[in-house]
Amino acid sequence: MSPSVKQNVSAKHRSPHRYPMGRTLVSLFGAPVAWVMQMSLSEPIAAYACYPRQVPLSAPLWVELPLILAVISLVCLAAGLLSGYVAWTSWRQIRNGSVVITKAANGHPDAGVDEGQTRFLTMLGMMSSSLFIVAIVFTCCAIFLVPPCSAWI
Amino acid sequence: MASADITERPIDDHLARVPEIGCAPPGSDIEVQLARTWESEPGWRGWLSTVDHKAIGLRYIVTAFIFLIIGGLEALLIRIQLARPDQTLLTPEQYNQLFTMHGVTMIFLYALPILSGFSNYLWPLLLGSRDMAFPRLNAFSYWIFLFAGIFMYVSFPLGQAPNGGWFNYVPFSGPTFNTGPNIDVFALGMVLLGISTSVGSANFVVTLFRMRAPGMTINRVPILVWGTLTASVANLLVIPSVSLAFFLLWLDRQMGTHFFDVANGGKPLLWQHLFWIFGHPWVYAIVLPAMGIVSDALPTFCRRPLVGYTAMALATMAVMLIGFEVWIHHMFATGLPTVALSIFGAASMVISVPSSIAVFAWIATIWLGRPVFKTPFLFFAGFVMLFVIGGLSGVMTAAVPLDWQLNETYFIVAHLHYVLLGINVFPVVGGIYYWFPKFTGRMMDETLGKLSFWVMFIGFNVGFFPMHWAGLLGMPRRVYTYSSRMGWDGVNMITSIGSFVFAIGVLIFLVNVVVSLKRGALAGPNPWDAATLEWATSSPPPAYNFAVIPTVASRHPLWEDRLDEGRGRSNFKEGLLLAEGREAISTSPIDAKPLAILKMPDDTSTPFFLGLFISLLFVGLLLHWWLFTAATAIAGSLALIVWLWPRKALAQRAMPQGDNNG
Repeated sequence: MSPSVKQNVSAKHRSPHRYPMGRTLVSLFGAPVAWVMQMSLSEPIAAYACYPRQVPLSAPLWVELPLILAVISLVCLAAGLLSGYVAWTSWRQIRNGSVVITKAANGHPDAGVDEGQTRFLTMLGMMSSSLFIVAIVFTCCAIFLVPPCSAWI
Repeated sequence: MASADITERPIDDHLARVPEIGCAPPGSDIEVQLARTWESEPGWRGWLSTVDHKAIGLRYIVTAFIFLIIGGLEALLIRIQLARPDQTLLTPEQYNQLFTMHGVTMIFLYALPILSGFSNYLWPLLLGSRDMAFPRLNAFSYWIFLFAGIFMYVSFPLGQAPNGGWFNYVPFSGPTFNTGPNIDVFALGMVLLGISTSVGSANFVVTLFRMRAPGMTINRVPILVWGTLTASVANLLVIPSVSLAFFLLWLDRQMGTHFFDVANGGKPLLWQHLFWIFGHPWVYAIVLPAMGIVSDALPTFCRRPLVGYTAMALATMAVMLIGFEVWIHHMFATGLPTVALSIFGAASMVISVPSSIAVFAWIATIWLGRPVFKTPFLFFAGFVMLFVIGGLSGVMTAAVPLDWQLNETYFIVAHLHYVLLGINVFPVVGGIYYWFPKFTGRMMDETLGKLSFWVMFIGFNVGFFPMHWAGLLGMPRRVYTYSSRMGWDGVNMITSIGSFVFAIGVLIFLVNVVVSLKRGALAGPNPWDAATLEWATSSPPPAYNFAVIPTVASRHPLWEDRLDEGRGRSNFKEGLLLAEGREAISTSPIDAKPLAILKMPDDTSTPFFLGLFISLLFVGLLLHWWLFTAATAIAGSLALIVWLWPRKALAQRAMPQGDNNG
């Protein structure tokens, strides 16, 4: 594919509707990122604390390990809930019509302004936040219920 | 969403052009010109140089299916060996090579490439485009895939095929315990295949966000596209991990490094991490597009739209995202600390949430629709049942204590076959029945089709369900034979019988393909009365796909009248006329607003030669022919220079004043 030959039909059009991109990104990716952070921090810290060199330990390297894991989980849960709140308020704004969405003119290739994509992305954000808040809670259960360096007995 | 505006830049007046809007009915001057512009040259030169996504897609499908047949024949040999205790048909080493090549073939050379074939063929048609974003890269991806497959099979007839299982654990696959060329072939072949997968994935990502028809906003994209997009993003992130793992292993074996060598401070667990960081997302990459096939095709036979489109799109992406953080569930038995395992066990269980959303969406679509029991519907409905069984055994093994009991037993073999055959092969075969009219212009035979489904479905369940039982009885995987005193005789015999029944079902399907190619009823543009854009063009589609660029007004462009979706109507007869050479329209990522005319490349054999030289370079590395390796590197670089040389026709070089038509 080559660099494009610009056509001048579309570039002059500016969408009258502007929904904040930042809010959409937070509601779509906030909770997933919080969950990924929870996983990516908790697993290596827990693994290293219980198995730092060649021999596994019966107690963690640091006594504060449960506290560290708990703090990570709670911070990530808070971030997930915040993302969920942003998603929920965005969805309510769209649903209540606080944000104006203009319908496209019939059939014209260049007329599309918002054909439901904002509503779709907001709904997607709300579902994404809900699912990954559940994922964070699941991971919290593992952290709070399983002793860090125990054997499976 | 205003993201379209992100891409807006001042227009270079020198390059500016206003495209015409009009009609191009069949036989009109513009249509004839389009056909002449887009059709490939007949004969072997055209065959070698075509960059048409449809030709490449079909090549992917046919090649991958040939690999499926080869892998299937290997499986049948394995099942003959295991049908009865103390069999001596195969030696242990032959058995090792057979089960390894079976896994490598099915997982790497069949499962993803066949889905790439579907997506390559269908994406531009589904999206209302003229081609993929990077047609030459598309051809290059196919050639590398083909050469990588040949590369990995070349040592098989010599009795030196890969023999360490498809996940190839060290230290067994290291230089100390595996001295032949077997593992080197696998290691270099996987790095080579990784090139194909990476460039193909990049092409899909750019195509989705740049090549949709005007009006196909992000909420109107078919689920197959979501599935392939998700898989492609995942591949871009995880292929480097496995390529690195295999490259480091090759260095250990051939250059004396010690990345995985315990005696010299290497870490075998490093292999497992690098492999499974890739391996688990890969498992989802080879099922999510197949789930997309079902999500897009099933509604056609239920005579209603898919229930829960948004939830399905989310489920698709969420499964993959969670799939990045579950790789350690393949390593539960490695002695990692308990809380680390529990975290990954919890994450593995979370996957059941989006998976269940998908299952309920399919069931609700069937429940609320008016099912038409054609062959594709049977395959898709059968898939839903197999998905549930495979998913349930997956959730079971997410529990660490149970996994310890089941690890390395036939229970795991049963689970992965339910997942990979159930969620990949059944949708793929159903998809071929569904899109065969589009591929060839002919319908497949319904009687043979239904027969093939029932034989495959019964054979599959007779063959693979008892494997759960064999695992619970303690039968370990990868044993080349077993004693009659173990109590595994009956269950293995049933499994072997079922496998052969399944193979007969596949054979009936192949017979149906051959018969239908010659004698199938002629299909019109939309023989199933389906809703999506690919059915708006003729069967098979013309080289240019759409004479005018379609304008899309809803998620179901061909069902708008009956669904009364939205206010506007999609338009396939009148739209942007782009006929000054090979041209396509570029649109904005979210809103699908037209942004630019893209000058698309003509056919060229450069991708073939670049792929050939790179593959020969790997042959040189394998055989330690260093001069040959250097020569192929130079030849490959020259091919790349030819490929990338700026051309006026592609607007890559400044045009003289007055010649601004591109």
